[in-house]
Amino acid sequence: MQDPYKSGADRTFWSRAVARDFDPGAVSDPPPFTFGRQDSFMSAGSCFASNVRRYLELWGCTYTVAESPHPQWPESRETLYYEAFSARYGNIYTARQMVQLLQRATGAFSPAEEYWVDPEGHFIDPFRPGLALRAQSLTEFRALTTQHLAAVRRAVEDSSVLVFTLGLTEAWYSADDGAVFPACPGTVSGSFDPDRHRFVNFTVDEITYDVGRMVSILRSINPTIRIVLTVSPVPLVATATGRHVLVATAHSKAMLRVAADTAVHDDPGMAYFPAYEIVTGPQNLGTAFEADLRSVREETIDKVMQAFATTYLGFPTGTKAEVQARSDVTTEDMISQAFADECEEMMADDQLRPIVRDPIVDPIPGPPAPVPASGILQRLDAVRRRFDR
Amino acid sequence: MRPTDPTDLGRKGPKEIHVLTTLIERQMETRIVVIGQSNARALLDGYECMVRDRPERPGAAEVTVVMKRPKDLAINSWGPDGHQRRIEPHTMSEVLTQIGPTHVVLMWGGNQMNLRAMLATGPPFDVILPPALGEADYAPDSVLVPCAAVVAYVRNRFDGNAELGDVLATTGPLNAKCLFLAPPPPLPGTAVRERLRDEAHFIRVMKELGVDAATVKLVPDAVRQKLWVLLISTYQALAAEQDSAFLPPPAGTTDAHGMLDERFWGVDATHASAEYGMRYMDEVLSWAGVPTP
Repeated sequence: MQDPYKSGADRTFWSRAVARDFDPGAVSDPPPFTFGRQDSFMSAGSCFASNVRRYLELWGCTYTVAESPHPQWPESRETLYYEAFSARYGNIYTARQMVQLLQRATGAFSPAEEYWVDPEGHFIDPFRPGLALRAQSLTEFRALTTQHLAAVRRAVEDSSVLVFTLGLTEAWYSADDGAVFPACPGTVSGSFDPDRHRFVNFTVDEITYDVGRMVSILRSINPTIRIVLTVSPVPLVATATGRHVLVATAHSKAMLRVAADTAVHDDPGMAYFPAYEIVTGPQNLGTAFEADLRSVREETIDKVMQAFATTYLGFPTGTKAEVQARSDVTTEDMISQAFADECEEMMADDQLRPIVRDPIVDPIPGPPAPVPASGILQRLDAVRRRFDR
Repeated sequence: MRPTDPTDLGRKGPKEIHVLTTLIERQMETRIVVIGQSNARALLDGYECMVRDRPERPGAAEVTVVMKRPKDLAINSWGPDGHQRRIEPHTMSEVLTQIGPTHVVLMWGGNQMNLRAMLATGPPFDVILPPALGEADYAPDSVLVPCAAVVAYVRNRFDGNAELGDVLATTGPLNAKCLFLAPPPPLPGTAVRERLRDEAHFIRVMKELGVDAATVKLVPDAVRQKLWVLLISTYQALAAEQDSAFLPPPAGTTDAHGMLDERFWGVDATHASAEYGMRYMDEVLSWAGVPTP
């Protein structure tokens, strides 16, 4: 009897699939579904997720845009990260943040820290702290928030596909009700209150559970929506755990990666796309990132998105250069600017922070008490049991 | 009191005593320069009506109204008791330097909202005014445009305006009191539609939109009224930043809905009448300390 490796395909051997003849388009497992021209896409997640829109639009796919500047008021265009997705939710770094957004969009949750007020008396959205156009009254704030949340719901209703990128495990939340923020209060806007703002580093079962909740709410709005999960290859700007940021990054990405695989397991409406592996694998020989060793190079993003097209799209696309050569896509120009903008996560690093609205940046407290370790497998079993119910 | 000869200023030698006398005279006079673009037309015409119908009102004040047109300046200048005089500088800064006003009145721009949001394109939109500026109502089925975006639009038109910067820079050293006036309230949609067919700018825009004056969609009056409130609040803020005063539109010139009252409609879709300008100029004179006879 031959051992099982003897009959393995080339793609299952490192020497044949990675060390040589690496093909990004062959990395993904065979997907349970593919997409056609009739599909409409929504994307959400960390900074890396904004690539999805610009490529899909380049390829002539339908990208759902449920919230955009009014054509008569170009000044209502927000900073580009808020215009880079299907609605103005900006970067969604954690699965919990996405669950919370969907809960708010369906009226299932109203955060206790509904707003912050800046020194001019304008209203800051704690869940979109980088919005440049702040409401000038509470009535306006609530109306704009209602409009935004309705757009989120509409985006889900109108899309047949959600591409969601898991970015971080670390987050800050309100002690009032557990509402998570996209950035530590006081870094982008608002101020840090050590009695009210707490740090959390989500565990793999918490993330998996949150992804499950996310899927459940999405399907309650749109039962046929299909979900592609990815993990952002972009390292952490900073960690609040007190550990070395390299170790913290490895930990976070490992948690997200396991949670993604667990979540898509046996769900024909979900798939995992290996953007993380295509970017961070050693096959790139250290060329995947810019000089800051964090920003993914444009050529690498192109590779990832070509692999996405190969895996999921049932029609020819072409490389970015080829598409650009044959069309004048102005949206792409706009969205590509998103990469020049700094995301909220970067506000955690004083040395990277381009704009500090609030001159008083409260100190980030020391690392939280260590969480007792428990076996990942035990946690996964617990999560699976929960889903099975 | 004779009009001062600005060429006397700065002369030395035998003319020194005359110059000193002129300077003292000038310190005692009220010399008002009103500067603006198309919305200054109502002031210019209104003041002309005033000196004709109520010649006693200006008293000893000298009033010059400068209206910038696309290619030149239209300047009317009246000496004490409304006697018209000739003045031919080429730039607004030259007018200011030549006259040495005690009071500078700016009717700057004012058509921002008419240009941007009189004709409607795209889905209906609305704004919610801050509590200090009015009711916080809005049409829930409209796209809500943040007030901050509207204010940013108005500010951008001011902040990058080299001409206004030049006027303010020239005004500063003159130690003149400075006053910002508000653009007139918007005309109601019915009046706008009647007048659109004669307006070259809007005819061009409507042609681009593929509509005409009869079919073009107008931004609802209630929304335009709110945009105007935001507009004049921005003028007020700008005035405060410049350590200047701000004078709202003359009392009694709006209708029950806050639009320009029919009695003050101008001949076109966006401007007010000479009657409106006369009322405003009356208030300008009062602000400058010119007593009502």
